[in-house]
Amino acid sequence: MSTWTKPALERLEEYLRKNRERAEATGADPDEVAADLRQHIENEVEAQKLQVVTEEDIGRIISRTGVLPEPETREPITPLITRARVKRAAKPVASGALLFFGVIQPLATLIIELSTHICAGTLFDPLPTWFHVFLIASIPVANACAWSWLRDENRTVPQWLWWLNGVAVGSGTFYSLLFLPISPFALLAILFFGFGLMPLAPLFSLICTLRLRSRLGKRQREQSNVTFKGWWWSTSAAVVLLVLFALPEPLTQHWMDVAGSESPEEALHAVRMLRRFGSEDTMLKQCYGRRDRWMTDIWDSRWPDSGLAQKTFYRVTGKAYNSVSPPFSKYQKSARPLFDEFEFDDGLGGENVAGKVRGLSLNQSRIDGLSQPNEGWAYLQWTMEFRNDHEWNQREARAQIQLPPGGVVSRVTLWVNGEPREAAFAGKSEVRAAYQQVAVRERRDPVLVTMCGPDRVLVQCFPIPPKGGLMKIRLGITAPLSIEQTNSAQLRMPCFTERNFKMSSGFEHSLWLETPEKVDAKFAKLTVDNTQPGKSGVRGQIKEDALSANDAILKFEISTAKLATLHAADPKSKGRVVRQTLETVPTKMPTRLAIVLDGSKEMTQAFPEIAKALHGIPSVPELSIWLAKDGVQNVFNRQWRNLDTAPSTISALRGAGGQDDVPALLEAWEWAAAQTNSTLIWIHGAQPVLLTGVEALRQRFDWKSGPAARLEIRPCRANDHRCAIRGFAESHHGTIRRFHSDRFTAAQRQAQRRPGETFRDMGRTPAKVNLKKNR
Amino acid sequence: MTDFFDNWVVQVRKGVLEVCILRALEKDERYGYELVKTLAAVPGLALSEGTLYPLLSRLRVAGLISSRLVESDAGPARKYYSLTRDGRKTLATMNEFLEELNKGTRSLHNKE
Repeated sequence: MSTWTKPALERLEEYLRKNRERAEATGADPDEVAADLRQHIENEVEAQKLQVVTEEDIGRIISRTGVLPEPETREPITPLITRARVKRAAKPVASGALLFFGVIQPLATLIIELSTHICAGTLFDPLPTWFHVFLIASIPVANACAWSWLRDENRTVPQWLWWLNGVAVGSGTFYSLLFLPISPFALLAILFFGFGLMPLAPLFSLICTLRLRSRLGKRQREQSNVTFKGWWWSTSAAVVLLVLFALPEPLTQHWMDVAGSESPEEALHAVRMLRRFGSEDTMLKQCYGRRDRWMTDIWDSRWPDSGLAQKTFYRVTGKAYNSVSPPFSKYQKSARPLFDEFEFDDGLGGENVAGKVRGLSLNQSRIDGLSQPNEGWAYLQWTMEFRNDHEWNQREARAQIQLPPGGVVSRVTLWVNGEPREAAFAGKSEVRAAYQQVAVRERRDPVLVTMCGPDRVLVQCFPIPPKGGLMKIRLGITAPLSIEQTNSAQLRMPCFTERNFKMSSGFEHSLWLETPEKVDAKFAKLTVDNTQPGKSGVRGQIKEDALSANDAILKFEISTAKLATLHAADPKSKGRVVRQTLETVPTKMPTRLAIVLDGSKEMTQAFPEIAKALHGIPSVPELSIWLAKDGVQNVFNRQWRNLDTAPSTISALRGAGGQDDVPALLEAWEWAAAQTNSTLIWIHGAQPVLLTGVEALRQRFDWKSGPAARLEIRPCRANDHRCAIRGFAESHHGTIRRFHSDRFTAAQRQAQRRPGETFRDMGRTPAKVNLKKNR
Repeated sequence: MTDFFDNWVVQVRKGVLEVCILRALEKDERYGYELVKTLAAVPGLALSEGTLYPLLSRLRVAGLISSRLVESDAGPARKYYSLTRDGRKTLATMNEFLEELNKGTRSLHNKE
């Protein structure tokens, strides 16, 4: 309970009296007003918990409560209108300046950048994706809508316009910050040269967008009591999305740098991050010696290490950088290219395929073939025609070709002035020197084919004349058939593993192959003809993708009983003959069997098949399986797991990127070599890029390959793994069928003729005769 | 503070106070202090108890609102105000008038 002082009571009564009089004058009930006010003041005193209420306390409460103004006692209105107030009032809500800097300038800047890439070419690409284009376009669109709405005072401001303004402010803020470092220079350029508005467009348009926001808000408050919400959400969403979309490129560049770190752990971590989040396009650009410059890299003029980038690209994707289309700007068709193929070919005459060169393409391709399944061979003639559309540069076509397993290039033909010319065979260094002399220096018309790995050749021909010039070559490939089962053999078609020329999307190779035995091929657009007895064939078109796939295989019916002895003149010794026979020899169970599996991405599909094949493996005393995946993993060992669990372990494996198998091979080698009579089976993918040196492996092979320490190595492609493992399984059940070659003179040949044996002397290129005969 | 604009603002505020009170009572009944808080939150509508209570009394005398005392646990009894039927009709008419006036004012601007 409060105690009121007398002055406080007098002050209250005075206040109530005054209000009573004024209330009466306005038509209100004076008693009611006085009672309400008295109640209010007593409540205030109560709320403040005043023990003694003084005149000062009452004065303070009364000043907050206010007094009813005296009726009609105001001064006459004085029209004091200042110049500034008049100017502000006369200012249009939607001015021409807002239209120019908020709509026209950003729109023009966007169109200029899209058509000329002036910023992308000199500083950094502000429009790396169409999403960025869309968000930048939201600025002039939002401003134009707001400007139009504000000009008509009767139009109600819609909620979506409020949100669109938020998106535009978010985009404008992001790009204003992005261009902030060069804004001072742009200002100086305007002052001294009269141009430089483009870099300032984001900042100016942001200011306009904020002003329009303010005016839209004012208009909206005038029109409705409802307050629009969600502006901050739309602004934040735009900024967050722009940052998220912009992140992959700088992050990819960062991880590409770290992938070359000397610390294996750091490098592996970077490769894993690139596999998960990396931009393949950015990685490809670095493979071609380019890098995107973005925000922090505006002043960065470092050039990436393209060699390292190419290795990293393989480790991340499992593909050679030049086996995919080169990176290019999305604007390439409409304007000058930013990241076109190499203009200058630094791989000319070299031993690497290197990057794709501009203007060069494979114009036509046909594969003609013959196969004698019961003699165990096939002969293919692959004719390729290259075209160079460059304006002035002569080009060299280079490609690495994967031959059928065990296949060789037995013939090479080059068309000179429309006439086919046969190539000569010689040692590798000899032919390369000749090629360098004739092709690169004298610029005449040679073609060079050199071995560059197991079942792999590098083909190069030069010069292909510019402006639509053509060059045609033909490779004759002789290959043994892989005898898969007692009644079937298969031929894996040759294919490109690397190339420096383009092939149009959906490029098709024309195939025609004839054989006396039944043949099977499961390709779309390929006709298999087994209707005539003794004359079967396949013909039609094979897409490049299908040819490069692991299952580009033709299957033939064979009879192992009919597999004939094959003779051919020995090219290295005149008058001598080479005889090849299929023989069955006894085998011995190995002490140890080591299997190394390549952990590359392309192997993922092969693992279940490998697991199935493992069922046929005999009970080897010691078996161990390694997986080469981001290091070495010993995934199975007979000593610590039952052999029956091996297939399930292998089928659950998953490949990733491109792997270096050498460390796993070294480890498996050491394990296998600890015992004599061991076997190592290496099942691998294409392995187009050599990540580390192989000298350590070669050294072990040199020292351990003698008869005292027998160690058998069986490298095989993923698609041939069934053959390899089944071959191993069969061989260690007692015998193995294998081709045996021996040489003897013509006289000896006659003497050694066996009853009923068919002799076929086919010369150095056996199928050449047969192809002509068939035509 | 005696220039034209400020005088005009005072006049406008005074003109819309009644309609603001009626709108504030349109949905729910409210007591005096609650009404002051609600109306004081409207930008530009500075209002104190000394101004509000005479206005409430005048509206009650005019039959547009009614009041009733409700005992409160938190303190003394509160006087709750609510719209009468006449009050609702009058508010609808006032709203309509203000809408027309607003449109008319804008059309003058467009004609320029």
